[in-house]
Amino acid sequence: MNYDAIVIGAGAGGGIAAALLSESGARVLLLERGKPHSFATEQTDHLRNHRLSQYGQNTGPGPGNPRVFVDAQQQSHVVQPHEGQYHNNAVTVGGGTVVYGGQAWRFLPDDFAMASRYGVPKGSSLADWPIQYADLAPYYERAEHEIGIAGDSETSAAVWPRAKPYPMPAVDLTTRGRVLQAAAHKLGWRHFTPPLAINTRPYQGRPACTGCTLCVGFACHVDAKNGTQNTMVPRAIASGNCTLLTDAHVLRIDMDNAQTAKGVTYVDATGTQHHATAGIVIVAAGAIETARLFLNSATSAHPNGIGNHSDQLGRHLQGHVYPRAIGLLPDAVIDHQGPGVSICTTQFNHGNPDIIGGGMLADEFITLPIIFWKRFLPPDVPRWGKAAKDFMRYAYPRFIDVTGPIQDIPSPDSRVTVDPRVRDRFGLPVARLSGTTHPESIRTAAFMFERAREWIEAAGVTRWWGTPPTLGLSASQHQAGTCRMGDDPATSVTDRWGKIHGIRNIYVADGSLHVTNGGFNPFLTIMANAFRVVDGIVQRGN
Amino acid sequence: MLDALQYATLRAVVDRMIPRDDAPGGLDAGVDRYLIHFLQHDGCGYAPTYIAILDAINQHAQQQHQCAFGGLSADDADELLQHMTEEFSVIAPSLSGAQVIALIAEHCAEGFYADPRQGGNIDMVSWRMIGFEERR
Repeated sequence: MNYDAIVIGAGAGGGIAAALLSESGARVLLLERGKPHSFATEQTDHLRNHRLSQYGQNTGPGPGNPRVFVDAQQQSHVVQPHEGQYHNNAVTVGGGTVVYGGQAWRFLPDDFAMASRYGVPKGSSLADWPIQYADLAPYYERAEHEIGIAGDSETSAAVWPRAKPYPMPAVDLTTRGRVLQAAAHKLGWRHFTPPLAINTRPYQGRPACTGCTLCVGFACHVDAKNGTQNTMVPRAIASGNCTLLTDAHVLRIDMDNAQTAKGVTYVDATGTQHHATAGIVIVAAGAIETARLFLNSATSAHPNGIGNHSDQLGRHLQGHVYPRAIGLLPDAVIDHQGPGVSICTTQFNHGNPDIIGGGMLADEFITLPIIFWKRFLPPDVPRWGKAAKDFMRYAYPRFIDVTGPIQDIPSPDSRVTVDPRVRDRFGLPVARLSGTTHPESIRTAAFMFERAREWIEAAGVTRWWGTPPTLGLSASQHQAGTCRMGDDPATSVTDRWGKIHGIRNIYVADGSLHVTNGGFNPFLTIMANAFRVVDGIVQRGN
Repeated sequence: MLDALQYATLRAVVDRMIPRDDAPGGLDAGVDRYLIHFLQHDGCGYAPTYIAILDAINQHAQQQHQCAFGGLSADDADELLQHMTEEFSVIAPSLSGAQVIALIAEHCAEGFYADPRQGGNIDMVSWRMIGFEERR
């Protein structure tokens, strides 16, 4: 079959690419290797979801899709999708946006110019984006309105220059949020309610959030959580120009000649192999799988993989390191008011003494009891016996915690390659993840841990605990950076328009493009950048 | 999978991991049955470890107290489990006693604090105890 465009991956970036192209009149093939996931298929299993995938998950790739993780001692481990070292993102129509918490952040102007503002620490690949905040601002606005974001327009306008308010008001403060608000006042910290891709009133024909207690990690039971699965992908289908195939696994990009892609080879749900051709190919499979697909698509003209002309493809893999401080308040603060996150500060994203960047801090989504047990217990509390039970009974209603993503300082050695031995169910080399984030990320995390601790101490905790993160690979759901944009082909994979340097018709439209990943949850930036990249394609007509 | 004595020991271990007090304990929440199902499915890789530690716990009870672990008083049972974590260097291949007890404690917590759809936490007893509601 021949199409005007093939889009690989129906997540945050790919859903937008498919919608904008098909609405412009192009005939689009949208290939998604996952199956559709909605509340109808949601098992609401507290042990097998995207927040806690102890023994499996609701949106993972199926069997036969391992990866290889290389640890700090250079030992290789074959890992499965539900294991932490796999660094999974949701594999389904809508990708991570189906099961995320939906914190809808714009990056700050300084986040696009980290090297200029701070210099480049030794061993790091910190760099400026080839574009600025102002280039992305109109597309942030489109994403906020076309996806549907609820936020505090007034207070956040002091943080981001913005032309247009959020389409919906912010969620209400929770009981914990009110306690932290008083503490932030006391500390003199700027604070507001984080923007969320969750309806606070009916929007685009979907209902308002019911405030349920199962949000992050699960599909929404009333479809009030907004992602590409209920906005852009349906728009693409409604245009009449887009064919969505799920359970469709792309094996490789096929080249016509060294500068031009011909199309892709994929396997459909029945296991049948197909060749589809198109004028352009847009890859949005997530930072790990996008890089892997380019590496597995090597040809004689591109022996190290498509886009790997300068040994940049797959490098600078980054996500977010999260410090977390937890404490106990004298009185219960549990209120079952979902989604749960309701207050944040951006006071420490930049301008911290002797620290490169910083990060946002916020309260947490409703924490399921088993997640509290596994991740939030203090180290000195017994895990069994009466004392363990007593602590759960006392602490669960009284705990308060503050956490947030710090801006990772990228390392070129944190990278995706393909494994020389381990193959997936189609016989293709799997992604091999190696390296760690730069030590500066851990220094920032330690600094932000202290700020989180300060916040809960000001809130009146009777005791606190938590440990700042240690050095490791950082990727997971916030994975980014493996096909960084840049004006210089020697130091980047794509140009500023997301087009692979030296190739006429292959684009990237996901977090792989991020040069740096901000001190914020990245999905709105992935979306805004996809709007910008694809708008460029539509405007230029190629 | 487990013989009668091993199952009785497992139940007695669950009862010490999450004891009944003024709120229901692990056995009231069906954690023992949750574990049996778990060891036959996602946790099947742990079955040899469970069998090894259950046998070791019971042998130790016989040596120290001349009775099965299930027949010990709560204090004696707790002391014996504590002893397993401190004294027994290797219970199963490559796992220390402390690691095995920590593993069982975590699996019991999964059965007790996760959703009842997984087979444990019958009637949401743990959620009632800590004040969690799964609200829509």
